[in-house]
This record gives sequence, structure tokens and C-alpha cells, in this order.
Amino acid sequence: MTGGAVRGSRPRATVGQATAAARGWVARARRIPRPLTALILVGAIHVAAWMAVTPAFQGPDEAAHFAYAQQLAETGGPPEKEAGNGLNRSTEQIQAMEWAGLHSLIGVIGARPAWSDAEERSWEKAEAALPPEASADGEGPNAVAGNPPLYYAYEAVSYHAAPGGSLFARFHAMRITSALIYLAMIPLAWLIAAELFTSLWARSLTAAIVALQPKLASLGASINPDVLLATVWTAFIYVAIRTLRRGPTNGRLAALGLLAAASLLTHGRGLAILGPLAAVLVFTYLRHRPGRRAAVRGAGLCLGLVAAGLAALLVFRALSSGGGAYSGEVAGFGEQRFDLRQFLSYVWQFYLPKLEFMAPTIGLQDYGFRETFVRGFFGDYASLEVTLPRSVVDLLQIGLVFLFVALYTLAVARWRTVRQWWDTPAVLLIAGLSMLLLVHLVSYRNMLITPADPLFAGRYLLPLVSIFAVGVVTVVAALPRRGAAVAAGLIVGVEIALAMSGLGLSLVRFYA
Amino acid sequence: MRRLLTPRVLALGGALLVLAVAALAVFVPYLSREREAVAGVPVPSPFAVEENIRLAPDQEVCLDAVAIDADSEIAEFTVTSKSKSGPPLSVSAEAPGYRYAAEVDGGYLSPDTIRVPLEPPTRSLLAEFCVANRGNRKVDLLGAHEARTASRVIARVDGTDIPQDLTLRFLSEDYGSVFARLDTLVARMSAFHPLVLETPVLWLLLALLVLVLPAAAIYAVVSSFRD
Repeated sequence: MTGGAVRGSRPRATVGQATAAARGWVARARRIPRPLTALILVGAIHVAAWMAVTPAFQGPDEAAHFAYAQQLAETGGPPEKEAGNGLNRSTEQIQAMEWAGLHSLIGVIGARPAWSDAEERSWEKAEAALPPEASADGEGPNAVAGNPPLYYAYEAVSYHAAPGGSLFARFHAMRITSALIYLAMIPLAWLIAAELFTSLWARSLTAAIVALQPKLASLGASINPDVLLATVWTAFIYVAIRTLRRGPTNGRLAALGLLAAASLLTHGRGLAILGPLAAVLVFTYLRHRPGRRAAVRGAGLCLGLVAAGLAALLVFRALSSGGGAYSGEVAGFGEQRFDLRQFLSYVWQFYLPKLEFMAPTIGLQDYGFRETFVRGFFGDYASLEVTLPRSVVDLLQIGLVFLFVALYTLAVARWRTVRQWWDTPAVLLIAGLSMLLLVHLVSYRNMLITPADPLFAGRYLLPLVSIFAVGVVTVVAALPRRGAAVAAGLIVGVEIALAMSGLGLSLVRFYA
Repeated sequence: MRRLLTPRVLALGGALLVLAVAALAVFVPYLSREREAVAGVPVPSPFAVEENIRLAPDQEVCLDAVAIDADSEIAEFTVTSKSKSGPPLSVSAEAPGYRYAAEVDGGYLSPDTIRVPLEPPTRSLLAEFCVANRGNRKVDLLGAHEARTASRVIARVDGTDIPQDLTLRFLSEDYGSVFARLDTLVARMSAFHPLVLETPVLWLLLALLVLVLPAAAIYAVVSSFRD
């Protein structure tokens, strides 16, 4: 009887629990501030528009990233960087790109994708006739095969979960899951601002700058590990600031370790996170002075997770191609001579005019701050061929230089506040410099081999987008209240106009 | 007056001012400007390396399985040989249930881009597209032979495969603006997309982009200011 009663009451209890849980979720969702909800909606529309306007495989190196994810999804292993079976993409991907006119479209302004019904029907017939192994034979060489596997493993899940099983269904499912990573950056930016600013508008403006950044949304709409790297860095910056301000807990230190490990497992450029990680740990110790045992335990927890991530990467590499942890962008530093004087001269000339005593910079002479921090950070969509007009780039450059000058002036004018909260700006600065140093080193090394390829695109700066947004809001917050309101409105207007411009230019480039 | 100019009003004014200027100075002129209406590019112009396709008198070059859409009203290719009087050419397109032929009179100055009026099919199809030299002198046509612009179509001269592809594109006759041709552009965007991005969804997305995105972004920031 008792057993029967228990069996009889269990479904009711389960339904009751489910209802309570659902109510809890609704209550929690209601607690999300309305401006943040609106900005998540903005981000969703923005990234969906980029997905629609950018034909398949036209994001930066998107064909190679898809090929990596497909190979991982189909075989459990990554493609090879230099060896393989001679196919840098699977037969299925090659044929899909041929039928849809997507191969000759990459970076070629005069080309257009296929859009006729006849070609679409023919591709469907061709796809149906392909043998199953046609999606698993892209063994390499693949230019991005040296990347760590975390992002591709995440994409492999949606590759298999895509309904229908056709290549383009899988491709777009993977883009959607990439877009979800991008969307996570908006609440993370909000949370960062919530740690730094008391006013609601400052949080909204920070999140709006991230949600409307056109380059970030265009990247979020494509298959590319850079979007995961940017999100991991944004989350890391949030946890780092929270740890500095509120003190270390096991949860925060574990989160720092996990995010640093995720950065290492996402991209070679993720190694740059070790700089801000070390800074956070040291600065947290200096500010909060935990006991020696607690400090050792906390650091051990955090660094242990980082070490576990690195070990996982080494095991993955050993089991797959047997190479080092990374290849390509951040590998092979020992193979070229490193001339410190030449490197410093290159970095100087990247940002500033050449001084009389300096030799001409290594590599491209006219590639520097403007091309990366301005043109590439805000524009250069698709495979870099969709560019913002020169006049817009001029205005953005003026705005960016003004931002740096204003931040410096503010730091000097409010030195007392900076000294009081020195650790937070120091970590943000170290995060930026750490990423820049790594990218410059990689760029320098690459130009020793291939002078015409600086290997430094504007999207490499996107992990720092939340720092950029915080910088803008810091300057706006320093203005009188009414001035701040006008400035905030102008900035949102500019960001919306930039987003629309990028989408309009891409629409005309691909479909007009 | 100062009471009326609350932070919310000022923020809203700032955003709307930028958008109004951008719309009037950039967006409307850009999107309403008449521009060449590309109807398809079977083989784009070479990116870096030009390689000519030489046709002796009576030779013809054909591209197989070229997609010709219902709005392909002009075929465009390039004669690269220098001449004050280019040879006559014949152009043809053929598919099951569809055939079109046209002549290009000789005597044109070259190098030059040749545009030939085309009778488009009623619905898109894959056709064999040929250009033949009907003169008594050889003629060079612009070809592409590089990995970067390699396309699906295969080129043949008198039935023999050649490594180059004949650069070819189709145009529509009416030079419409983006606004005027928006329905065509949206329909094109839905090609090779899964069902979730079919044309009606794309129209909805366009409406959300133009109306909801700016409104929601401005609302988020403006409503965050306390009056």
C-alpha cells in the first residue's frame, strides 16, 4: 500500500518540482534588467543579420575552420597541418563550395555566389549521390590544423545535432552555436560594467558597445574560434575584476583557472591570458592578504586547472598528430633569429612615424595602427574584402586617438582614485599589453619568413573589446551628467550606423 | 527649457541626430543609387594571373553547366587581343528546352568588354555557353587559370578541355538601386540556406534589423538614465 502510494505520488511530485523550477526560472528571468534584455535582443538581431548576409564559408578562414570541425566530428581527430591525404577539405565540402560558387567568391570582389534554383537543385542531387565517406576525407593539409580543439569540439556537437544532415544545414547549425557564444559576451560586458560603475546607464552603454560592434557580430556569425576566445577573455576579465574587488573564493579562483585553461585550449593567441592571470593572482594577494595556507591552496587550485588544460592539450596532440601544443601562429619561435632592436623598431613604426635613425620596418611599410586597431577592428568584413569607406575610417581613427588621450588625461587628473583602485586598471592594462605583445611577436616572426604577411588582423583585438567598451564608458562617465547623456546617445547612434553600414556594404558586395 | 532637456531627452536626441545624419548623408544615397545589376558570375575575372584563351578562325570555346537565370539579359566577356577591328563572334547558349544565339559584329576596338544581349530562359537552368570566332583572324578572350578563382564550370575549345576558364558574367538590363531590387536581393540571400532562412524569414529579419534593432538599442541606453 505504502509502496503504491509512493509510486502514485511521484509523478505529482515531479510535476510539482518542474513547475516550481519553471517558476524559479521565470522569476530569475524577470530579474534581468530590461535594458540588458533589450541589448541581448539587439545582439540576436545583429548576429542573425550577419549570418543571413554573409554567404557560407565567407567569414575569415571559415572554410578551413569548418573543415577542421567536420573532420573532428566525423573521425574524432583533427586534420593534419602539413601531411594528410592532400585534401584540405572533405569531398562533400569541396563539391558544396563549387556548386554554390563559394570557392571563387572568397575575397574576390567581382565574384558572386550561386543563387539560381538550377544550381541549388543540382547540388541537392550531387549531395544525395555522395558516399558517406565524402564528409570524412578532409585529412589535410589544413592551415588551421594547429589550433587547439576546444572550439571545434563544441562545433562538432551542433554538426551532429543539425536536422536533416545536409552540409548546409550542418554549416548553419554551427554558425548558430557560434552566435550563441557571441551573445554571451553582452551580459558579460554588463557584469563587468556592474563591477566598475554604479550607474545603470554605464552598464547599458558598455553592453551596447559590445552588442553593436559590427566586426564582433560578423565574426560571431561565422565559424571561427576567435569568437570563443573573445568570449572567454570577456568572462575572464569579469571574474578577474570581481576577484580583485571582492576577494578570492574557491569559486572565483576555479573560474579564473578554468577560463585561462579554456583560452589555452581555444587558440594559440589564448596563451596571452597567462600574463593577466599572473597579475590577478599577485594583485589579489597584495590587496586581500589571505593567510599563507589559503593563498597556496587558492593558487594551487587555479594554476592546477590551467596545468590540467595544458596537459589535456598535449595529450590531444600526442594522440592525434603528435605535434606540439600549438603550431602555426605561435609555434616555431626558435627557428628564426630574434633581433630585439629590429623588433622594437617594428613595434614603434607600427604605431608611430619612423624616426630618422631607424631602418625601415620589417614587412609591409604601410601596415600599422590604422589598419588593425581602426580599419580591422571595426571593419574589413567577410574575408577582409568588404571595407568601410576611407572617411569613416578617418573619423574612427580620430575617435580612437581621442579616447586614448582622454583616458591618459583622466588617469592623471584622478590619480588619487587610480592609486586607490590601482589593481583593476593595472589588470586591464596588462591583459591588453599581454595580447598585443604576443600578437606583435607572432607578427614579427612571421614577417621574418614572409615579409608581405604581417599576420595581425583587427579581429585579433576582439578579446579586448570589453576593455575598449569600459574605456569609452570611463571617459563618458567623467563628463557632467547631461554631457554624458548626449555622449552616450551619440555613441549608440554611431554604433548603430556602423552596424547598418557593415551589413549594407556586405549585402551589396554579395548580392547586388 | 533646461527642465525639458533631461538626460533621457538628451541621450535620445544624440542618438537620433547621428542616425538622421547617417541616413540622409550616407544610407539613402547609397541604397537609392542606380548600379549595375549583376545576374550571375559563372567565372569571375582573374584575381592575379590573366591567361588568355586564343581562338583561331572558326574555333569556339564552350563552358558547360553555366547557370543562366531568368534575369540574365546580357552576357559579358572580354576580348583581350589588341586590334582596331576585332573579328565577328557568335555567342550561343543551349540547354534542354532552351536555345539562344547572337552575333557580335566585327570591327570593334579591342581590348574591350563585349556585352551581348541574351534572351533569358523563363526559369533558371544549366546551359552550355559558347563563343565562336567567325572572323579570319585569331582572337584572345580573357581567361582565368588560378586556384583562387577556380570555378565549377569546365571550358573546352572545339571539344577539348583547356585549363583556363572563360571569364563570364550576366547582367540585367535595368540598372536598379538596392531599394528597387530589394526583393531580388533577399531572394538571392535565401539560396543554399536551410529552411529556417527562407525568404519570408529574411524579410522578417530585415524588418527587425531596420526597426527593432535601433529602437531596442536606443531604449536600452536612454531608459537607463534617470530624469
